[in-house]
Amino acid sequence: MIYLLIVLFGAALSYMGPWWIGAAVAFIVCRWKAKSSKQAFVQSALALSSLWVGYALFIFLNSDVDMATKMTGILTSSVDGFGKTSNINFIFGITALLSSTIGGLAGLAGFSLKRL
Amino acid sequence: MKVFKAIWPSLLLIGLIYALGNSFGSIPAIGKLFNPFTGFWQNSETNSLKPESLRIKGLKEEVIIKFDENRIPHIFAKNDEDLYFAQGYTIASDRLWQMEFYTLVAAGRLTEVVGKRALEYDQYNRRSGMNFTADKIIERIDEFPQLKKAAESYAAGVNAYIATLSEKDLPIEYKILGYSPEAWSPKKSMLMMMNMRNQLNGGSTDFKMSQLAQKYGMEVVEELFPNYPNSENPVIPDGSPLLFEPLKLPEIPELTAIFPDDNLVAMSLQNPNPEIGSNNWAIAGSKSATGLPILANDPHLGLSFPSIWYQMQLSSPNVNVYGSCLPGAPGVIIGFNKDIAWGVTNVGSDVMDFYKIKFKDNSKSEYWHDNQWKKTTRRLETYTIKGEDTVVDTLISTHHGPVIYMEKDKSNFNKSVPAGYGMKWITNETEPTDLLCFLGLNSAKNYADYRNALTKYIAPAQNFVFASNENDIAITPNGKFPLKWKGQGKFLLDGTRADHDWQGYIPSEQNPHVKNPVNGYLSSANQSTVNPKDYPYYLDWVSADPYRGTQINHRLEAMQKATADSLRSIQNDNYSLAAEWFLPSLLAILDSSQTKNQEAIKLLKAWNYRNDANEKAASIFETWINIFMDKVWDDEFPEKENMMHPTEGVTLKLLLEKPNSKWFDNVKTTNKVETLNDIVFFSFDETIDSLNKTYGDISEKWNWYKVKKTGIRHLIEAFKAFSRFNIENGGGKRIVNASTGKSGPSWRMIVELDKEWPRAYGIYPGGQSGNPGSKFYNNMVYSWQNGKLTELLFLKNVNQESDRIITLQTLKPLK
Repeated sequence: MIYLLIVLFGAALSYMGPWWIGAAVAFIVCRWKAKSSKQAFVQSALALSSLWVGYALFIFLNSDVDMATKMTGILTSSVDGFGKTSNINFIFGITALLSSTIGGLAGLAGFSLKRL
Repeated sequence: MKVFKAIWPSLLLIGLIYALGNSFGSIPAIGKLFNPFTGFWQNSETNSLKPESLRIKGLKEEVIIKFDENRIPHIFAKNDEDLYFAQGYTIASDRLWQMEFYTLVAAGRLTEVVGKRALEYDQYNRRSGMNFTADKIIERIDEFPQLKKAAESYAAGVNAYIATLSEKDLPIEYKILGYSPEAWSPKKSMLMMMNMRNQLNGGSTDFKMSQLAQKYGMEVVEELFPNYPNSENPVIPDGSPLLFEPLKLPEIPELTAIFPDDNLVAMSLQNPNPEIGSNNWAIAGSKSATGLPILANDPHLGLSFPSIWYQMQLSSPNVNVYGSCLPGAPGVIIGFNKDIAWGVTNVGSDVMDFYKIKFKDNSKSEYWHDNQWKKTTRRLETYTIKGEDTVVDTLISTHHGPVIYMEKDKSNFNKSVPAGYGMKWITNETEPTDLLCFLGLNSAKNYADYRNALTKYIAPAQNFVFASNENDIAITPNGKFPLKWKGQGKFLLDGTRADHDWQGYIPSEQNPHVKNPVNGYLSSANQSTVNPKDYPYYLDWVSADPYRGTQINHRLEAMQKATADSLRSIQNDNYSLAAEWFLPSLLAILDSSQTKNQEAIKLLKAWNYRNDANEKAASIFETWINIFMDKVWDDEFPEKENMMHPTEGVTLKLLLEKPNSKWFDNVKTTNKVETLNDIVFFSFDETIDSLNKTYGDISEKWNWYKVKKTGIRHLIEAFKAFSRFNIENGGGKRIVNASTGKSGPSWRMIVELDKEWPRAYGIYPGGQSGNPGSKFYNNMVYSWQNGKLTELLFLKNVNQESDRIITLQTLKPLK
């Protein structure tokens, strides 16, 4: 339930931004619905990473240019990053890590405030 | 405790969002960047077609834009304001970051986006006056209503585009570097032009020449650094008649140079850069297959992503023109219309001079000039630095111009802007009319219109080549040229003497000019402008070596019934006149040597003198000639100590006519007098050693393109992944096809004039989009590297159909 709510509202609001709006959604949903800190953290982390990784993957599969390689190159100051497969892993790995950390923490933060 | 337990995750969350949402130093805002809804994924084009219909505030009437298969916009407006509005809007939609970046460079504001590492560069750019001059130009823009209208409409168009952007739509460079675009303004268009003035007119050898004259005397300067090359094929063909009554020439004063106190200087300045050169030419109907002129141009600039040029067709009831535009400036810079075509190459005349200032005292509020104390002016320059405190410095100026550096700096020994000198520079002229010249050419119908447009042009001086469907061809080295005594400004000048000031300006109608020469062609390639026998005024003493100019003229001379394709073969000509002139003598000397590098000699002997992409001999020769020049000259004139070497032309003359010259001796060896032969042997063996060291034994790795290493770099050099390296093409800096490591033909255009409708061909090494996530970012590179041209789609009017049009976009006014 929490997972679904965050994904749905997160997707709708993310089009308008700002970039942390998904975290705000997780925060509010967990403040409202979460039953335990573990549930808040895990479902929010999964929800936000589904959103970020899923949407990034959608763009990746539909675009004209290999942005994963170009961005890995920029972030590692080399021409071609680590090589094609590693670049994709690198970019999606960071995306997953960032989104689950931010999402999980936001869910936890929302749930924790219930204690006040 | 309970409260803390409840809120610590929230505090951590806020901290994390702050940390990931802001850029620190060179670390981008990672959270923002990786969020696929706002970050770099949004720059990945999934649908490269432009939206079909938009309502925009500021337009007067409907504008139709047709995009062709290379995403080149063909803009049809019903009035000129809408035309330049739509030009600004469209170019911003593809090149916004680049346009703004150029203006930040020219205004000396890079520190605001990249931090302190750009401070020294910014300070030079700001102190040299470009930002100040752009302000002065804008103060006068009301005097020129046509220009004002175009520049303001263009700015309104750019701003209308910026207004549509939210964070996710920003060009990727903003996202990585962490800033956002400012509003555009006419001043920024002027800064863009300042940038071109700096790039093409921003070098000086005055300090080097003074130092050289001080050490070796004027006789040596005259022998090795003559005011005109001994062998030259000037832009104005020899013997062209003088068509005007010249002004009285300024007299040469008894003192023509001052010498620096020591070789300490404050800041490095490039030599005028021969690699940033260009070619253009026009042939008359008598030489063409069509019986009407054909014009060709390829400006050589730094090769960059996004590309320096942007192709467009601009059409309104007053104009219908096609060509290459500079992102940031209204109008077409190099192009053609139904009746005429024009192109430009750099003149490179001496328009930057340094004057030693004698201040009254340490307050530097007065300086001595023309037998009296005169007041200096002061201006505060403030530098906002990303992540650090603001820096403010005071800039002192005299009537000669700004004193760029006050202090000598021992740690900056190897540099060439002298401290305590005022810099007089054409770039700081404040007439706003450069762009009026281009707007005039855009709508020119004939030779008279061309001549009229040229009178408006200030700087950087260009060789404007012209052809019309009335069978006229012409060339005019054109710009505002200072009136100088012969040799003025070859050395540092004395800022206290009135006779060292620039003595006025050459009237623009007296700029060098040729129309319809009997041989049926005209060309320029940054060589000397005109033989001093044919022209009364002094322009400069040094120019590009005559290889490209001479080779182009050889080819044009031989051509009959030429077509666009024959001229394309000249643009791609890889023949090395340098090799033809130097190599036989060098190889003859090598024959008497004991060198073990016989395989390399064999390659050179079998070589057809063409710098083709896979030619190994070209790699050997190009490396050798550089090392040879160094071995001959760097002992007496060490570049590290702010000296410069004589030209290859001077060296060739010595090699052929004075092989026993003392200059061949290496003065650094005390117990031996080296001869020319020794220098040839040493330099050859060193060449092969250095190639062996880098590329191993002779193999495919020695192929010229692998040694030349032509690359197209993103404007932020650290963004290697947005660049392209090791382009497989031929050429070189001594070659008509002037591709070098970092520069090359930045736009190639050929136009066949016609009574009905011209046929034109063109290409540039990049793509219309400035977005690395677009397939139009670099889609023209491959054709460019292979020397191909694309037929340019020049539509007669808005109703003309073409199957090359992919997207039709309508911009409608929003009331």
